[in-house]
Amino acid sequence: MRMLVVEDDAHLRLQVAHHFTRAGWVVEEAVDGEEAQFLGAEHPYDIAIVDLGLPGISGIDLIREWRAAQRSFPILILTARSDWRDKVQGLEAGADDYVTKPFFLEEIEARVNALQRRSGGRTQTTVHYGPLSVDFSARQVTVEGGAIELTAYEYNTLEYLLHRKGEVVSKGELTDHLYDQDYDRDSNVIEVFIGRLRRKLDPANSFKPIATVRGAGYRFTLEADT
Amino acid sequence: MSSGVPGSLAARLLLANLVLLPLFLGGTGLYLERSYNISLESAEAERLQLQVLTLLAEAEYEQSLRMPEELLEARFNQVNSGLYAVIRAAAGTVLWSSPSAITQDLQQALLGEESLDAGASAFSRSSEFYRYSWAVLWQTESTEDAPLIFTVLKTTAPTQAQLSSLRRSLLLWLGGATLALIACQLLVLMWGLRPLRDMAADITRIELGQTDHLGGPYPSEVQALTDNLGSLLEVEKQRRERTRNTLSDLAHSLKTPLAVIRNADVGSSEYATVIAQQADRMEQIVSYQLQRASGGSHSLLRLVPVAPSAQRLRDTLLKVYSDKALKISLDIKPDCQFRGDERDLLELLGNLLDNACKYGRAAVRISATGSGPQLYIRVEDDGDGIPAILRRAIIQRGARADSTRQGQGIGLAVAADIAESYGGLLEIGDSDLGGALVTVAFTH
Repeated sequence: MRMLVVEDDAHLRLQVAHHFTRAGWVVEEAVDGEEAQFLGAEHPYDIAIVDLGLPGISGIDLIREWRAAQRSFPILILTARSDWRDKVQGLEAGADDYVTKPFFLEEIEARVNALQRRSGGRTQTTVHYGPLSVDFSARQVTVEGGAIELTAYEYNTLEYLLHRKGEVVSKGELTDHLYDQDYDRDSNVIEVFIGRLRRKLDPANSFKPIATVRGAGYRFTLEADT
Repeated sequence: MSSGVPGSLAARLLLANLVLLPLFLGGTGLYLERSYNISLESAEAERLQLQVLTLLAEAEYEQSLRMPEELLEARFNQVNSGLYAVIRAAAGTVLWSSPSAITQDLQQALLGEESLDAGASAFSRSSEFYRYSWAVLWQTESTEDAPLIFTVLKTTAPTQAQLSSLRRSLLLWLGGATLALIACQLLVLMWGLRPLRDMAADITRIELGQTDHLGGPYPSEVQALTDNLGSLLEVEKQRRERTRNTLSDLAHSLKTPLAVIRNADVGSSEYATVIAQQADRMEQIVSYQLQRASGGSHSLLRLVPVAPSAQRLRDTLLKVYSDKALKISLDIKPDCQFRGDERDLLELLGNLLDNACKYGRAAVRISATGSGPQLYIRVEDDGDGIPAILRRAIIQRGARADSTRQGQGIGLAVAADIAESYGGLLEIGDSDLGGALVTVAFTH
């Protein structure tokens, strides 16, 4: 999943970026509102973390402009103090949640996961899809009760397919969300990850969780248990 | 002061009087002079009519006009007496003029008279004379009826002298009255505005540190202002105290984690954890004290409606807590107003509502009654509530600074501080929803 971190304080920005990179996210950084505005308009992010006190274009204006340009990814705002006017303005502008500085990185991660869950239409951290169970908080996948070892990229590929469950996801879209902008889009590495995922999730090829839609991409086929 | 109007109240009132009093009294003088003039002229017209009637009685006409040598009115017989009589034929030919007019050329005075029908009369005034003419048709036995015009002229000089004398008197009395009224006005202003000067002197004494409150009592018109000033001074005093307390709390509360760090064993495997824990603690303390210090910068005189702020916060928090499917109900009348800064109201309600949303299960309720100096705000939830034993600790100043933990109580502590800075009181109780009930009462 792909994240944009907009924060002018270099130390804090790097801390957040490293934390989420380690957690398997593709993280891009912007130091001010102008850069963030450009990146947000150009790239399909799955979430953005925005500091409200930015130089140049303010965080609130940035969020307004993204929302006006129909950018619908979830936005988490960082406010310098527990100032309700900032929070209310940010959320009214189109942000989805807030974290007050100083914060623990774990707190941001919990909020980010909650926003991802909400934007994916899920209410629980663990979701069961027939024999397959995914704990989105612990990033843990089990098949018929047995834990499956997935690499970060394999997990991210599965998570994105689940995020767009039932829809056809093209290889290009997967590449956009899983890798940073310098990645070679012609690579067949996506096919390799899909192949590995299929073998790990369904070694007997019995419930076929990921279908190939010829010429269009891939689709996650299983329905979530209710 | 814009538009060149004097900045002093006394100067404004004085300027208004200097313009209005002469206008009013001048107008009165003009009216009196005109009335007197009109009454003089009408009396003059009456007198001249009588003179004409006397002349008519004295005249005889047989073939030609005949007048007695000595007229009854002595002034007609005396040369240049100022009263003159002329009898003319209808064509304008002078048939007779009084002996008083021997040295006078009255032709000029007789000009410009409209033609009169028999029996008609006319009174007019020129710069020199009052003129009364009466046209008659004299019946004779021998000849045809003779049309004649009897005219009496009287010099205006005596009445002009009377008018001039009246004008002088009016000017003297009304001018004197104007000056006397303005002088009285000055005294009234000095006496009437004395409470304002006293107030300015009181404020100067406060500036000089000789006192910390306004004296009084002041007149009722000024009392509202002095009350507000008094409240402002009180709030300023509280703010200074709060800043002092915040600094002392900050210094005091940082000493504990600093002592823990100083005493930690550098060689211990726990050292890094201890440092990290104490850093977190210090961060929380600084954050908490910053929030307390930033509260209370409010202007007392504005009334802010409560409902819009609560509505904005409800919409915001429903978004933040969308996972919980909360129902936040609002029961605030549109005329319910908070006397203070909108930002403080938002901060107060934000902290209370956030707390209720955080700890409530499915229902949060915010209600407010009263307005301005008698405002009651209630925020309730259906969570576990706050144990009675903790309630005092959360509200007591100082006790909070060291003991607040992440996500617990800091919002209530900040809300309590904001309420306190406005002379309000925050209390924690039990809601009939099952959870906590936080009441904030502003009663000035």
